[in-house]
Amino acid sequence: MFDRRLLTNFDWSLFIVVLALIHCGIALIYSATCNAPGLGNRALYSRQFYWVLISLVFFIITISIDYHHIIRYGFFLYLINNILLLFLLLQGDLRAGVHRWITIMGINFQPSEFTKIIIVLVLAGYLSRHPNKEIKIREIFTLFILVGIPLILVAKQPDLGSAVLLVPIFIVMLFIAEISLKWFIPFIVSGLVALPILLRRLKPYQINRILSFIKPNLDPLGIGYQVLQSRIAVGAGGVLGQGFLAGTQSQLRFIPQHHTDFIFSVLAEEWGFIGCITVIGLFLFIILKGIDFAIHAKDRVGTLTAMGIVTIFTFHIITNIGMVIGLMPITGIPLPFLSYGGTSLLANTIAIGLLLNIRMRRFT
Amino acid sequence: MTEFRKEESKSYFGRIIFITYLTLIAFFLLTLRLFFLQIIQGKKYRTLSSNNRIRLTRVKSSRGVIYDRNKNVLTTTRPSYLATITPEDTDDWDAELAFLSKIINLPKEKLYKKIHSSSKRKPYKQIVLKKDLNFFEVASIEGYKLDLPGINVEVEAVRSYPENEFAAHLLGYMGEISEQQLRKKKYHNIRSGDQIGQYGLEKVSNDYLIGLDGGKQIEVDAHGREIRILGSKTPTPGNNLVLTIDIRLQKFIEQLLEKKVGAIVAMDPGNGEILALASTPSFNPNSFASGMSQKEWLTLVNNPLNPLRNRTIQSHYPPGSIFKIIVAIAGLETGAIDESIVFHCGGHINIGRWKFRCWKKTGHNQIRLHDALVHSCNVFFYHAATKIGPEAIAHYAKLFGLGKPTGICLENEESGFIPTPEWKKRVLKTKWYPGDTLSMSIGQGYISVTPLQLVNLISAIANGGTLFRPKLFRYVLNSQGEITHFFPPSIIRNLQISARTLQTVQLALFGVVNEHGTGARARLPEVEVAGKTGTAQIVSLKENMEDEDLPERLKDHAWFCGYAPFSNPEIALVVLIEHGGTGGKTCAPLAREIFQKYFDLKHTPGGQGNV
Repeated sequence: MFDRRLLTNFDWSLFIVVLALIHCGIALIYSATCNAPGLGNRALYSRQFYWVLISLVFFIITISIDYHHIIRYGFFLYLINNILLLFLLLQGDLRAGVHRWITIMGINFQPSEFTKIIIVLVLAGYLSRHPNKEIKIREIFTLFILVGIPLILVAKQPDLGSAVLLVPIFIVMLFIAEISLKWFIPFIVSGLVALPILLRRLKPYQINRILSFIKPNLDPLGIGYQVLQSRIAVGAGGVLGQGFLAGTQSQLRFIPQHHTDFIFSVLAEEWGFIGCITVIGLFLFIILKGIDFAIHAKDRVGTLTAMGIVTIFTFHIITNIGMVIGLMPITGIPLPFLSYGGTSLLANTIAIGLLLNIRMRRFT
Repeated sequence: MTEFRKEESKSYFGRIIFITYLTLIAFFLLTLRLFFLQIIQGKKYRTLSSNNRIRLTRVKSSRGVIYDRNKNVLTTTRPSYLATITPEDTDDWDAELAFLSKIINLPKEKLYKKIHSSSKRKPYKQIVLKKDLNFFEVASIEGYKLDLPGINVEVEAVRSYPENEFAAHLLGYMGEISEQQLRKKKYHNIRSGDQIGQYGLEKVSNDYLIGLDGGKQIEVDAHGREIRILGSKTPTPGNNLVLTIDIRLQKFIEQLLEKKVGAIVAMDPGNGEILALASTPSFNPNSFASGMSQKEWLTLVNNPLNPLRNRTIQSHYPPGSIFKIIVAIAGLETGAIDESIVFHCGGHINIGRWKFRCWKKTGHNQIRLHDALVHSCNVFFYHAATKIGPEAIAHYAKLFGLGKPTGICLENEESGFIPTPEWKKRVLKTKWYPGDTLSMSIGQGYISVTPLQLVNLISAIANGGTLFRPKLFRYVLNSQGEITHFFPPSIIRNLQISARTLQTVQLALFGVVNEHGTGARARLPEVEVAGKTGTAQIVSLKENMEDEDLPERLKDHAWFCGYAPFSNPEIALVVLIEHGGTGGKTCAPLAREIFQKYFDLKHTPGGQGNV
């Protein structure tokens, strides 16, 4: 089953860049948690390391199977994922009022991390089966339902960030599928209709996050303080940073969730502008590689899948870093490969595996 | 496949390039922002980050006030000055602490201990070194402020009870939140070290009173001194509570109870509002608010009279002859007896080898229900209860709310107990003897009630058969003085007792006070009072032995419950004096004084009339 040609087409540079980012991530998690009280926190970076090993196993599995096979099972995966999300809503592990995790054999695992990839697979499968000229109102409607169900389930968890992320994936994939631009009109219309309804259904803390972004002084003790502290941490990094384990803002735990969503502030404070530019450069490398793979993919399915995955990464990176440096409102979206979180790491590694899979099989 | 590809490749390639440009622009913006924050403004942010120059300070909300029914203040707040230290802001805290220990008269070791014991605190969080500083200490610290960087004087609002022991069981006290309480969801807004209500109304209405803390985001200098306020959230004061209690009646009752052990509850029979609720001995809630020493606490807890116990709801006693009201109602309602039935009282009856006595040794001769209640004849009720049967009596007792907590909004209310033959067989594994019925008929034996249950019972008789849930809250006022919540009367049940039965009992209760009955000492010249006395035996007396001969701890508990005015009741009352002797001698005179006071107050400003 394993063709030698596949190995020659394996893009080692992308793989090494990803490993480098994961490495940075573990170092940053260590820095963010080594001084925190409680043994549980100190063990976080080592727990992340076990997740790296698990992720590598799944990575190898992902690149071994021809992506066409994977996409063929896309709808099956889609159903399982929806069932898991529904199960979570009905009787989830209530962690701070949030239904996000399923515990399997002592390992907490977050199905919504996989929803994005599965949506990419399902959309790629569907769009490649329907040439762009065949796409009419019925197909558009089907696509809306396909994306809408998991979107609502994830939003109900409530994980609004991850839910909203499905929208750009959807739009970009339709765009790449060369759908006639007139079909984007329903998007704009439904978006305008849904916005006021959505705003009314938001939870107070979600409204608070958005309002505080517009007007930081609105919640000086809560979000406003977090945003300001995060900005101070980033700014205090300067050109070269305060040095590893030396960031006072991060070490003193003024920033909540600094080992997960706000990990970039630790990087910015301890490694400065140079460190940030390096990491952003690595991320950009991944994205451009992904776009390259999409352009040179063997077929339409490959192009669509690759572009879908590129979109996932792009939006994660931009919204997360944007949030840390005060360009975007606070959303609970992690930074790929750097934020602490096993499921997120696993999902991202699998996504990279899919990209490499498409590249490896471009000539077969 | 490949052909299909070529045909479309042009347009999809263009679209991918378009998206690539968008991505590059976004990444460029991120970099630009980082350049701005880290390189152009880097210096400014580095200063802000050193010593954590941006801090949050808390502005505590003020706790709501508790008022009596006429809006007289029952609780106030006094300022307490604290000496605090923020170790990160100090220059040389060894020297500073040595200096401070002289100012505030605390050994240096003790100060060190306080700092070490709070090692788990968050960075830059203040540690309290001493509470309740006096004026001289405050002035000294402020005066040497420049030599004591990092040491500050803070003001804290402390709950205070201006009349010390007044209504202590009702109002309760405040105390520091415990570790267990901190874990409860109910207290999720409260932080460790904060004071919350721990007993009485302070505890049960904590949510109303507490308010919402605010805070300030401030910029400080290198020594932690505030330079400017960057943002603030004003605290929301707690709501104020208006009780049903009348401070004047409550005070009068507490004076009457002074040096006695007992409980008195006054209630409006028309709606279940508690006008006064007193239990003695009492305690001083102020001593809890400022932190109590181990010794103080132990003397309070180990006091054999148990001052912390609210005897109106947390103690239960045999009701004695007051229970005859229930027997009479059970008899009339079941038809086992009627108003004209006559029994002979010869001073005692014999059941087997046991002798059951009437309180009057010579007996009451031929006696009917009315006079049996008026003169509290035991033998009449022995005969009546035997005819009625214990199950029916227990049924009516429970109908009047005995054997169950009334549901007043205070914690740890006792339920009291009403025995039944079924219970005795199940729990004590013995038969219900005829003698058990006789004991029950005069409110002795296994039966027990709380004073609050009795005042509720007598209220239901006074108002014509409605059992209310005793009510302590009238309404809630927000900090602007607007009523935000009103507490309507709450009915436990309508008793469905015939008007004739009630009238018979009411007339008998009138007789108890006004026809030379056992409660004659409760009689008032202008107002018609009705009531019933009771004497709860602790030991059964031997032949020819009088209660007066017994040592204090074995003396009977004395009861009186009643209401006035007879035709249109406004106040119902229960008086219990532990080891007080007979109800007629001890409690009826107290009841008379309270009734008198109530009707006097009615005609003075701030009284019932103008609310």
